[in-house]
Order: sequence, then structure tokens, then C-alpha cells
Amino acid sequence: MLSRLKEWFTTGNITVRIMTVVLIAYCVLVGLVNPTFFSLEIFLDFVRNGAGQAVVAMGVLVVMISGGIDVSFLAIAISSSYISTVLCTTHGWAKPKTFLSLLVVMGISCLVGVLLGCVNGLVIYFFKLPTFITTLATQSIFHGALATFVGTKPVTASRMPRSVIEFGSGAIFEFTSETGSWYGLSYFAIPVVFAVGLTWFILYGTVFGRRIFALGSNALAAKRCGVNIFAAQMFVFAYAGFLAGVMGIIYAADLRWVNPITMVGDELIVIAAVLIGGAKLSGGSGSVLGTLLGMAMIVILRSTLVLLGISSSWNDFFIGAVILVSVAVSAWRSRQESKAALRFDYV
Amino acid sequence: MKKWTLVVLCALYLGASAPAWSGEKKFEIVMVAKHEGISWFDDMRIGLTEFHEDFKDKGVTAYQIAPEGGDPAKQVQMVEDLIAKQVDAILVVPNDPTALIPVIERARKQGIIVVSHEASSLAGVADWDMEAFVNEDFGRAIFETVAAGMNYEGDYAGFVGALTMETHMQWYNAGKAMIDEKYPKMRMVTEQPLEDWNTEKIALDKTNELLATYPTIKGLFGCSASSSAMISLACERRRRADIACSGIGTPSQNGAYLESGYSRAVYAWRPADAGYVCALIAYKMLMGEEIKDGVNLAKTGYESIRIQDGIIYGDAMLTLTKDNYMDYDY
Repeated sequence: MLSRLKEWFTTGNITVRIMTVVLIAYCVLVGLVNPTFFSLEIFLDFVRNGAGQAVVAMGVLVVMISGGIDVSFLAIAISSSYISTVLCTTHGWAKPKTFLSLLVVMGISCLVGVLLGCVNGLVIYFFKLPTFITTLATQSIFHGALATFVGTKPVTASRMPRSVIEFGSGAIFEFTSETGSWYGLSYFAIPVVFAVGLTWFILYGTVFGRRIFALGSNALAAKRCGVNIFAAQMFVFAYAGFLAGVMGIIYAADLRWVNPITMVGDELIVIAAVLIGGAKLSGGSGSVLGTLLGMAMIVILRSTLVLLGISSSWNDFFIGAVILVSVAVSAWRSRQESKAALRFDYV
Repeated sequence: MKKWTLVVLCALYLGASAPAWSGEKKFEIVMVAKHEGISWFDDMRIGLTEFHEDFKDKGVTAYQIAPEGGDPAKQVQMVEDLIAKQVDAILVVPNDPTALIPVIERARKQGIIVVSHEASSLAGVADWDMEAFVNEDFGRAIFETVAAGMNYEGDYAGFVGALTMETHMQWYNAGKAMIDEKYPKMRMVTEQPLEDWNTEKIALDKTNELLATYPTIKGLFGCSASSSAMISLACERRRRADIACSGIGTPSQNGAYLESGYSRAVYAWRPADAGYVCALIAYKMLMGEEIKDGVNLAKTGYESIRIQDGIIYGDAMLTLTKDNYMDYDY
């Protein structure tokens, strides 16, 4: 067991290894300051709090592997969840507290997400624009269009479809603490597992996934090899939109509140998680496990302030430091690799 | 000779038209709210429209504008545009009071009346600042509800938007001071109130963390509008109806929790009334009436205003409970 752990540690992805060490070290530190940290209740809260961002981070990862960057995903998430919940409440759909009606809400949300993602893909492909500028622009467009054409009146807890409320409050299994508090593994774990599994399968289990890597490593070479750039790019942005749609409903269910004028502004935290997890802004690399660890890192950093009794400025400091160190390490590592490749005795 | 005729003609013209001017005096009163399209300020617009209907026979036009996205710079620009348009009175609910000081001064220099709302720091800069109530009383009401709900003993905690937000801290400081003085058996578990940056998600996540870290908590206060519903929601998820929650918030966002009992009471004021009263203050000033202690400003809670240091105080705190929240639509 120990030797296998050692083996994994020496051969695995460097970023993933560093992340694991940092994460464990931080957890031990928090646990020393406040032993309450090592409780199931707190761990299960992490799953609930980070679920939405973990799902959407998978979409961002795929976009970044393809060599692009998407900053419009939260605008897509709020648009799709708002449109979906408003449609369902005004038409009385999804009223019963059933799985089927949750699927209706979720389906509409994902559909809107995919459509908006396709808008990104189309604009980027046909006008050959940089993805950053394009998604920065579409972020404002989606958000502005939502407020202008759909509405600005928030969906409140009393108007929220019952199925969505149940999705946000139900649990796969539950416990009661001595003080009478109920806690458990939220249903949100299901879409997280789904998103992680699906992304894993697409990236590592299909030829299409390898093409996305190829596109990000060297677009021209990929094209010469016969990769359909249009299809790959459209898929990547549509997929990011799809997961943003899922995230939108998680968000709505978690807060029982959808306010079309908020939630744009936390994009960089998700992108940071993907970067910490070993993705490169230049494309062609990144890992599902790394992203998951990066997300865990951010969620744990953000959710231990009360435990540690420190202010949120420390939080910013920690997150910044972790990003800097992880990016520096991966840059240093790739330089070492290129140096090694240049050595003649290596050949 | 020709020159003289011209002068006489001019004088005649002026003489003839001057009484006509004073006869149909027209006033344009404009409210610059914080944010376009949110329910709070949609309700304020109702107040302005009502004022317009009540006073349009007297030649008054009153309406509301607001920047998209609550941008402070855009709000300054809007006030500047109104100065250029030479309106008679500007009412403003500032996003960033300090950023507005120069334009407010310019407006007043040009004889435009300026009344601010929710900006006691603008007292003395604007003609008047209008507050729906004394902020300290409001904070004490929130904390009193929490204290009563936890039987005046045990652990409690809660939120402000940020430690730098003026009104939030006024509410918190007054409430906390009252608890420390009156109920020594109550203990706040954190040294400072938590900050939610006016974001629901942060408020909810931090409440979850708070309840897991301090299982003994018996009361939660929300001195920011985003946190009040979220503390109740977190308690509902944990099925902890014994925890007393109260805070500032809107009837629409908190209604479900007042109904289920996870929120004991929510405190607010009526934006429509505040808008109406600000417009009425401006109108009275344009008509040359003096604004002084005890003046009746028509709306409930503003029948007998109190004046202190350039601030007009009403007594218009609104206590929302499960019996009355549905009477309001904001």
C-alpha cells in the first residue's frame, strides 16, 4: 500500500501531487487551530457549497484545454436558470415535487446554456476572434439581454418550483447531530459526479477528446491532421454552456433565489481553480482530477474563515499565493522538461 | 429713437409675459435611484408616480431614473445631465455618497434643490437628507427580536454587508451595544460580524459554516438585505426552528421564511413612501415652505418629522411578520 502510494507520488502529474500535499497540509493546519474542522458535517457542507462551481469548472477546463478561455459561463448560468425558473413558474410547469419536473427545469436550463454556448462558438469560429475578448463581450450581452428582454424581478423562495426546492434541500443520506441539526450528502453530489464522469470520458475516452487536446496544443497541426476545427470549437463552447445550465439550477436550488442582476463576477475564481489544477492558458493541457483538487482547494480556503476566525482579506491572500505558486511550479517544470529534451545524451 | 422703441417694446413684452410665468409655474422633480430594475426601486418608482398624479394639477412633473447595474459613475453622470437640463429639484439615493458631493454642490449653486435619501453623510451637502427612521432604533429592533427569540441567553452571530458599510454598521453597533448592556447572558461567538458582500451565496455558505462550527448558536441577525433570508434558509435546511433569525429585508425575499417561522420578523421601510416623501420635501421647498420639526409629510410614519443636523427623520420602520408581509409588493 505504502509503496503504491510512493509510486503514484513519484510518477503522477506534478501539479496534482503538489496540490494534494498543499491541501493536506492546509487541512492539518486548520484542524490544529480548530478540531471541529475534522467533522463529517463540515466536509458535507464543502460538497454542497462547491458543487455548482465544480460542475461549471469542468466546462471551463474543456474550453481551456482547447486553447480558449471562457469568461461568459456565469452569465450563461444565471441566464439559463432565470429563464428556466421563470418559464416554469409562469406556465405552472415543474410544479409537482417529482424527479420528472426537476428534469424539465434542468432540461430548459441546459438547452438555454447550450444555445448561448453555441453563440460563443459561432462568433469565435466565423470571425476568428480571440476567445477572451469574445466571451467578455458576450458576457455583457447575455447579461444585458436578460435584464432588458426577460426581466429583472427575482424568483423568490415562494415562487420557486417545488422540485427545485426539493433538489436543493434533499439528501442522499442524512444524520442528526447532538444539537438536533440535520445534515447530509446533498443531491448536488449527483450532478458533480455526472459532470466529472462525463468530462473524464469525453477527454480521455474518446477520439474527439484527443482532438480537443490537439486543437489546444497546436491548432494548425490539428487542422492539417484532419481535425474538424469548427466541430471541436462548437462542441467545446456548447459543452461549457450545458454545464453552466446545470450549475444555474444548482445555484437556484441552493439559494431558492434567482436574481438576474447578480452572480456575474466570480468567474475568475473558477478559472483560478482550473489553473491551479494544472491547466495552461496556452491550451493543450489540464486534468479533470487537477481541476477537482483546485476547486476543493478554493472551496476549503473560502469556507474555513469562520473556523480559523480570520478576515476575508486573508482568504484573497491565500488564494493568490496558491495560484502564483502552482503556476510558477508548472512553468518551471515544463522548462526542465524542454531542457531535458534538448540534451543530446537523452537522444 | 429706434433704440428707445425697442427698449419699450421689450419692457412691454416682459411686463406682459411675466405674470403668465408666475401663473403657471412648472416644476420638474426627478429622483435618481441607485439601481434600475430591482424590486426595491421599482417600488420607489410607484411612490414617485403617485406623487406625480397627486400634484400634476399644480404643474409638477415627477419621475424616477436610475443607472443600469447600480454604477456610481453613471449615477453621477445622470445628476450632471439633470443639471444641464435645469430641472427644479433632484432627489438622489446615492450608490457612493462621496462621489456625488461635487455634482450636488454644483446643482445647488445653480439653484436646484437636492434631497438625498439613505446618505446621512450628505447632511449639509444636500439641502436635506431624509431617513425613514433613526438607524440606531432600527438596529435595536432587529437585535431585540433575536434576543427575545433566544430567551435572552446563549450564543448568537450574524452578518453585515461589509465592516465598512455605514448603515449596516450603525445597525449592528447599536444592536450589539444594547445586548451587551441589557442581556449579559448573551454571547456573540465571533469577534466581528461576518461579511457577506451583499451576496446571497456567500451569506448562505458562511451560515452553514457558522452553524457547523458553533453548534450552540441560538440566534442569528442579518444586518444586510442579502443575509436575512439566507440565515433562515440555512436553519430550515438543518431543521433548527429553535434558532431565532431576524434582519433587514424585503417582503418578497423573506415571505416564505416568515410563513414557515424560520424568520421571526423582518424589518424594512417602504421605498414608495420614501420616494414620495423626498419629492414632497422638494415641492414644499420650491413653494417656499419651511421644513421644520413636526411638519406633516403625508405618508404613514412621516406625519410628524424630526430634524437633527440637516437630516429629516421619519418614524417609518416597517415590521414584517407572517401576518402582514403579503400586503407589500417589493
